[in-house]
Amino acid sequence: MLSAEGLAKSFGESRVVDDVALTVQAGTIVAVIGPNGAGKTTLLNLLSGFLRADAGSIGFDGRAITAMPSYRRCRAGLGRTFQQPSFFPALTPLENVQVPLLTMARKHRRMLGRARTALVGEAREILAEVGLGEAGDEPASALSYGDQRRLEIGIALGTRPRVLLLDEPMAGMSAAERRALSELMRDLRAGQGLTLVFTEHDMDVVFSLADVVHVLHQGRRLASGTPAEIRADPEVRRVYLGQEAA
Amino acid sequence: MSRRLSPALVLPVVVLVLALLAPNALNVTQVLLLAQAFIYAAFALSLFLLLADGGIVSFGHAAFLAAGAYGVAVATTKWNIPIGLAFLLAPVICAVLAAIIGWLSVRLTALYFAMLTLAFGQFVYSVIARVGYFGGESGLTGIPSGIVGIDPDRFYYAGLVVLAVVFVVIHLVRRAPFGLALRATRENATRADFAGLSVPRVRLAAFILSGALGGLAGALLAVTNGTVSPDLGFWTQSGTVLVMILIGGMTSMWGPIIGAIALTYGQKYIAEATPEYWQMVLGAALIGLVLFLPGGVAGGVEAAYRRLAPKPHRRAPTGEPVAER
Repeated sequence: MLSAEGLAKSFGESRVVDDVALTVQAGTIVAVIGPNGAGKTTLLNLLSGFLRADAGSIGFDGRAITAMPSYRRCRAGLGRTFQQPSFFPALTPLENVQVPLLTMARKHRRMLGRARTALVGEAREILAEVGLGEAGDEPASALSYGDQRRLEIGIALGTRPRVLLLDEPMAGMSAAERRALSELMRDLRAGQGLTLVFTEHDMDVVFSLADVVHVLHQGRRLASGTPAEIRADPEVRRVYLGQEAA
Repeated sequence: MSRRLSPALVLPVVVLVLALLAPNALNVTQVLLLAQAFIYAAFALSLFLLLADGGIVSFGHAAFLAAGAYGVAVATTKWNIPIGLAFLLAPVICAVLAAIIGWLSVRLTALYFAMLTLAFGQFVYSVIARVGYFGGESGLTGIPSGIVGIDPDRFYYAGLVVLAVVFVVIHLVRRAPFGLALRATRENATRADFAGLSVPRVRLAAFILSGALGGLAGALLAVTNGTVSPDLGFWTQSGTVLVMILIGGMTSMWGPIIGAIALTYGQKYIAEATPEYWQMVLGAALIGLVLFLPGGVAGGVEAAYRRLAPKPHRRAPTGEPVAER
């Protein structure tokens, strides 16, 4: 579904992502873990097109997307969220979700007609799906932090993705919110067959949610496997899990 | 579903009726002054779309006022195109010009966008001021006035028509899906990109529309003045229209209209009475507005209205919004 080969990215002298290869099977939940500075976010940025890779190639759904601009990757079905919830603060939650829906329906160029009534049904469905069914007409900036994260996922879902990249989706959320979000991610996979790739620090979340875990260390892929395999991997324990415990 | 009478619907109708009747009650000076104010209001509104919904500041909008005016002047006096056709040609010329300027500018960050539009504005100015074909410093004269004639009342109504056209077009665009997409690029360009929008293209479309409508205002200026001169395109003109929007406020489309009328009247009365203090008065007014009434006059009125008026129902029970924002 999504694959990378020899991906590399440097910022100045430091190689943040160094020759990373990765394959994501359709319908799986994949976690990318690693200590701070391991290159997790940069990897997601390369996959989503937010950054251009210095070297390597990216394939999505059977075609090369290495040179494809980010908005086109998004239209092709590769959605993403950011560490800091990224949404449209002054727009209502409904409008936030209408934007990608209108874009995907190729209606965003229309200079006549009413945005207010465009694709409202679909937008409300998505809001309900991410647990914002009750959201009103207040600007999205008035939402709680957890709800802003949900809204961002809603925007990403509005692009009708087949693969959704989530950069630390649980960051800054309470235990209850984390559980709810894990549930939502499972539902998305089960209901829509969505493929999910996420980075995360919370090992409980990673091991309970992911089918496959990739461990990054200093820009390189250190190990890949099922949660059980990763947990048992001595090298991983040494550089990462041990650190957590200490 | 019956539509309730909302202020958003009643206000334009009331204002339009008053504006239609006004010439009967006003003397010639006032009528001419308002005619000019309407043209500048249309011009300010054309920039308002870019500024308020697009969140991008162009410092070269005068280029389109000048291009619209010179488009009419050149088409009628040099190419012998009938004035009616020339008048419609002007916004097309401006759209093409905006497409070129916009294509080169919209990808840049806000600061460089502002600088580049300023530079393009000055480029257009120097072309019309220096190239002999455009009449140089003295400009072009002898532009036919067509059906507008030389009657002050007709000037006035022509200004009102152009203002109404620009108002309606911008209103429709703002409430259309494109308007929402444009606001999305303003709110968060990165997220807009990751919602599948090509941010530069959305901005370019807004820039072209803004330029074309600005050109319409310029075209009417040429017709009512009968002459065009390079100062239409001077960068201070771009500054003036930004000041108009700032004074009036960006919270609603009434802002630029109020600002344009206020500045036109200020220039006429305060500047003529105390030419040496006019800039000072204007400066003080601007400082006061930015510090104490950031929403401008229209924003202040809106806030006062909201405080005084009983809270309107924002939504009908079905969740269908009643009032237009």
